[in-house]
Amino acid sequence: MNESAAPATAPVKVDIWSDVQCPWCYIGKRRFEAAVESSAIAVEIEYHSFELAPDTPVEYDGTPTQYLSERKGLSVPQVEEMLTRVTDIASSLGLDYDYEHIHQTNTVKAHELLHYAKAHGRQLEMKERLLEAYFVTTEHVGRIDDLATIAASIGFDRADVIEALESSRYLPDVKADMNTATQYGIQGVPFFVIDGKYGISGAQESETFANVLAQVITERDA
Amino acid sequence: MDAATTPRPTMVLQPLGDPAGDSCSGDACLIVDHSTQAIVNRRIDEGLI
Repeated sequence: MNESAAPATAPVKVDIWSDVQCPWCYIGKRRFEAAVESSAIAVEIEYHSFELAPDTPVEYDGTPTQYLSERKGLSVPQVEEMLTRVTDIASSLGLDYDYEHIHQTNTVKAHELLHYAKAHGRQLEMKERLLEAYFVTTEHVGRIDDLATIAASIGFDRADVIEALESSRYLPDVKADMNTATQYGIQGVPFFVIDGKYGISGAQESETFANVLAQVITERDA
Repeated sequence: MDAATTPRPTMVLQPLGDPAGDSCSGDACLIVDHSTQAIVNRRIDEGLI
């Protein structure tokens, strides 16, 4: 028995570094999902934490427009033009970003919640729910109480979530993901690591993702 | 972080796909100019072109 070759039917492992407040991450998620569907290639997806702005306060009174304007020294009209561009692209994929009402916040607790969900075998569902909460329904994703409400909306035990987040039980897992990102040289998200060997940076077009998956399968069989 | 302070990767990946894929980096997500057919199509639909 050849123990070194992966079986042809083994799913392609896809590790995705992502932040809840990353607009390209949600767009990339949809494009990747479309590629998986069109290619009919079996994948096993696992999300990993990447904090884009770890020093953002949990309570930030301004809008993302004001935050970007302040942090990057851009004029508000410049920022608004940028956000309109990404909103248009998101809209073409059925994602209705509401930048006027988004709560700019610190996402470390959201990442801890994703690890909590992973421990319960439901990370993918939680990832989708958190992205929708931040960009579309504009729920607060930085406060423990709000995160518990979000988790409860998809059937998790609210009290258990609160306990897990208040104790920071999954913070080491968040930090471990950040450390791995550093080891891979990941500086932007979304970032896809395929079968532990290949790296794809950014929200590629679906066709590009599908071609990559096909290439990975072909190289496995070679 | 600048080039002098950015840690060198210790796990090397083979890059695939378009190296210019849209992504967020740094301390806030800047959305650079990016033209896609989706945007053009939408503007055509809205009579802006």
